[in-house]
Amino acid sequence: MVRTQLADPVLYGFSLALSLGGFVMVHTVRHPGDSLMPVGYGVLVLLSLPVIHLALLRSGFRGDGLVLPVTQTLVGLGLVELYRLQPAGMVRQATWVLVGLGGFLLAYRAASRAERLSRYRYLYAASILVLLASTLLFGVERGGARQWLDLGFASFQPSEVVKVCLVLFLASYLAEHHRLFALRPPQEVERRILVPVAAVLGASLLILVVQRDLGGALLYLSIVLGMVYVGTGRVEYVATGALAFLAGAGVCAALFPHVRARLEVWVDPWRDLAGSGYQLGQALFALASGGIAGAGLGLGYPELIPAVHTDLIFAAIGEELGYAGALGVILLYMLLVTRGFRIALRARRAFSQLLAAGISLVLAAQTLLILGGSVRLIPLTGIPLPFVGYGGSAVVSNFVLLGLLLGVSHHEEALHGRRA
Amino acid sequence: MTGRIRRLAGFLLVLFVLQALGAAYWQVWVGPRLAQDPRNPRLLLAEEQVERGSILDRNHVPLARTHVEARRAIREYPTGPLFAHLVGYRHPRLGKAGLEAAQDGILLGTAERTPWEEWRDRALGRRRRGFDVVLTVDREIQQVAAQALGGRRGAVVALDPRDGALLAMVSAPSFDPNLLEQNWAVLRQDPARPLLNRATHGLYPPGSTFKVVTMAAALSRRAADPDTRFFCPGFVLVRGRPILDFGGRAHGSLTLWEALVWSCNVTFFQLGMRVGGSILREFAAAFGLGEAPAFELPSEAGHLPDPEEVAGDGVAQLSFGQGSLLVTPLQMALLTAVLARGGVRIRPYTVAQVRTAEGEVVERHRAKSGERILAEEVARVLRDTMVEAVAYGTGRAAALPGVAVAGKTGTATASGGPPHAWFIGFAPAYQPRVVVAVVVERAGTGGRVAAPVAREVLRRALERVR
Amino acid sequence: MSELVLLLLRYLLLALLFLFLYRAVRVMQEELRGASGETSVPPATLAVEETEGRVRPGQVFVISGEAVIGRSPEVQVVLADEFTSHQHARLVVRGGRYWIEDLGSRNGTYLNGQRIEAPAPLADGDLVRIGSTTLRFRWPTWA
Repeated sequence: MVRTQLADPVLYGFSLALSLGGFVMVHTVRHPGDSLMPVGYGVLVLLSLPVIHLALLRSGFRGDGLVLPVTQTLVGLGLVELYRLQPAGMVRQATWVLVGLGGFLLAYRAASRAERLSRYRYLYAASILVLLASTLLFGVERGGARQWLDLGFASFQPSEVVKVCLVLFLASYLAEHHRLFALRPPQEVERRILVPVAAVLGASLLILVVQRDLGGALLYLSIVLGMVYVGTGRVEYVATGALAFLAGAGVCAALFPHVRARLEVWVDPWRDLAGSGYQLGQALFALASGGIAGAGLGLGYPELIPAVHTDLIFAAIGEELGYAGALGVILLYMLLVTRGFRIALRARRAFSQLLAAGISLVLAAQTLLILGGSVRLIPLTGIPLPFVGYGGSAVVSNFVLLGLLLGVSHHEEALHGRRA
Repeated sequence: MTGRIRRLAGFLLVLFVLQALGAAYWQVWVGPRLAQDPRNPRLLLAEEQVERGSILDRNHVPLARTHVEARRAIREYPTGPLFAHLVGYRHPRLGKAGLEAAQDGILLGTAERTPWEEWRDRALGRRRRGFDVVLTVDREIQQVAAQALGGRRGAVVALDPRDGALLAMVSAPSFDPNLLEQNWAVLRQDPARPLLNRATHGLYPPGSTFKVVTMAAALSRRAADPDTRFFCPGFVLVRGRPILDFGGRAHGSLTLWEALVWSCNVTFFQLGMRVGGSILREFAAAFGLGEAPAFELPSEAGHLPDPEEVAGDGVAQLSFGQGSLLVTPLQMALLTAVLARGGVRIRPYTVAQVRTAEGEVVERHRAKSGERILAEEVARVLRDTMVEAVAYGTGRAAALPGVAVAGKTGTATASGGPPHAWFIGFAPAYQPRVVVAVVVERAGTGGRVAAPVAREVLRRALERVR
Repeated sequence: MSELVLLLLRYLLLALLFLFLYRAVRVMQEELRGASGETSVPPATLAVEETEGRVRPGQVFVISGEAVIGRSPEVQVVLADEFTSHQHARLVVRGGRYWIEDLGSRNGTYLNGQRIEAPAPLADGDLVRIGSTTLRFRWPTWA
């Protein structure tokens, strides 16, 4: 039998069984007797992923066959844990997943004609500038960070759109200059690279200070440095950029007390456990209480952690599914990122390569930033864990990135008469 | 470019491995320790899932119990302040004390469970019932002891010398553990220190009650026998300071046992000089002074003077229980029990049984024999002398009709105020069933203040304990 | 819900998570094997039977492992036939035999007169029509 011909049914079977079992367990333990409608809705939303996968295959999809099953498992784990923490939040999140799947399909279509996608580079740059500027000017504060735009009927996080535009812009910009960099004199190359690097660096520091959004700042920085490295191979720029950000962050910490407070909590969360260290301290207690096998879904106390469903869902998973579950989640992300880079490696054109690598980098960077914050490797930031943590804008933008990734994958494989 | 993509991917995957290690650090490496950190709110929440076991007296009168009201477990103490120090309290915010703290694992049911049961209940998040603890104490005896103290500061410890079972442990003033939250601020700042368990943690000089140790040492080392004659001129100068008998009265010529009956300080100073400071100190240690008693509640060790301090005529203060020597009422009760047992030490205990809610006994106390520290003959002489002290001497107020009581009073000088009143004793003297130690702070002489308290406790205890 | 079921479920969930991961890794392994190992089957031939394009009838293409058929000069089996797509179809080796698979061509791929929707196994003597060109698949098995 030709396995790669179809979405692997066994893989989807395991994934769905996991989500379904999780829903059953949470429902029995936390919400016995409540309506099963939310669970039914969540399962339906999860089922739409294999349905979309099948529909894509019918229309000749020959891209990567693992990305969607892995994503489904992550989304499923997220919905189950959200159902445990906030059933109403789970329903909202499931709706956002549906919206995200719409975005996924649009992005997939767009990326299937990659050349056209790379043409709008200055549109991306302009959107980034407009979005950043409007957040700085009209941003609404929520949970300590001023990173929301209120549109009257809805509010969203522009940083999630910026993230997508930044990857598209850099892929296009660096691809255009890909050959150039190898041929032109060093001064000109430097100017061409330094402009975007310096611009993003400056914007990151501004975001850090004005919006108090350390996560966003670090995310933009890692995208630009990672993609400049892939596009140009100039390690010295990457190192300079990283050091400049560190120095800038140090100056900010010295000048602005709210930046310093964040760092102090990171260095020693136990000192002010009842106050500023409360969130991180509770997260660490949650992880510790989970042990190896976990308390069992619905049987821990992750609700003790403030903002657990957005920022620290990893700690909730760690508490209720134990280190086994936490490790499983990390391995899922490793799988997803590996597949993303594999798509980049199999692509033949610079723009596709850069785009696929950039998307993998964004997914990896978001995951690493929030996971690192949860286990105190780095300061805690407010980035939702991709596909798992609660956050409408984030889930939609990550599905759009996934659509672009699979679009590139399909396009490149079809172009070379291959199948991923 | 593929090489750089590979390197970036490799770099990121290494970072993921670091995350996995970071999570392993918190969940596997420090996890078990951090999860038990008292600041982890899960511990208290997990406790609320347990229906805590009851604490019962020897006749199964509840001293602490839990009842569930509107899905919340409420801990109540039906005897109020009576057992506040022994039973203690358990409060979600103010913590735990007494047996509520010491027997926590049993009351919660975490001890004594098979790993399978533990795992099953944890996995299912099931509310479970802890074990009941049956104590050796008797509510009636405790009640009488508390009444006999009559609002004065002090402590009473009563034991059964045959196996070391605690019969009563009173510390006054007390507090009501049911009203802990309302009164917490006042209780903590009260100069009378009502939260302190004086029976286990109150430190007092033993005064003349210590003379039984001096006499035991002298008889054991044959430094004197009961009929050895001493002469008491009423005072003696040691290092330029006079040692007086209480009231400054001269006893003249008297035998050793008369000196104990009349509690003559001058005679005991001379006896102490004959025995020598280091040997006297050794005997005090053998009686358990200066060491924390092995008891279910953590207890103070008190203080034994350093060997250098009691060298030469430095033994003077020690020989009649003054100076830097400090003891707890529990220690004095145990010391007395050695004499009641004919020279053998006992191990005190108060948890008689651990039972399931259905009454099935899970664990029963097993008495262990203690070490002999006095010859039977020496213990007999001391007993007879103490019987005389109650019959004719300083301890007359402890006498009971129809029962021989052995006892020794003590009047311990307290800085700046009236002395602490002590009484130690046991009854019936020739077949002891009850040992008692009483201290009343700054209340007067042992004979007048402490002996009547001991009499009431002995009277009731002999009725209750067969 | 019986307690035992919940108890089992608790560990079953972790087991499912790792079964998923194991399966995904297996799929990746098979991909690698498919890319390298399975192409080692005896070579086959495709002989042009008839055509309206500028293809010489009787021309024989030797196939060893995977091969893409199309109009593009980069593919292994080049058919200068205007009814053929750039990458029209391909031969793959799975399970020790050849399969024909359409690559989303405009005019489709026919096996023995039937248009194929999914990859189809090939047997010695089968006729494959691509665009206006009909090819005969020869894969003599000597065993």
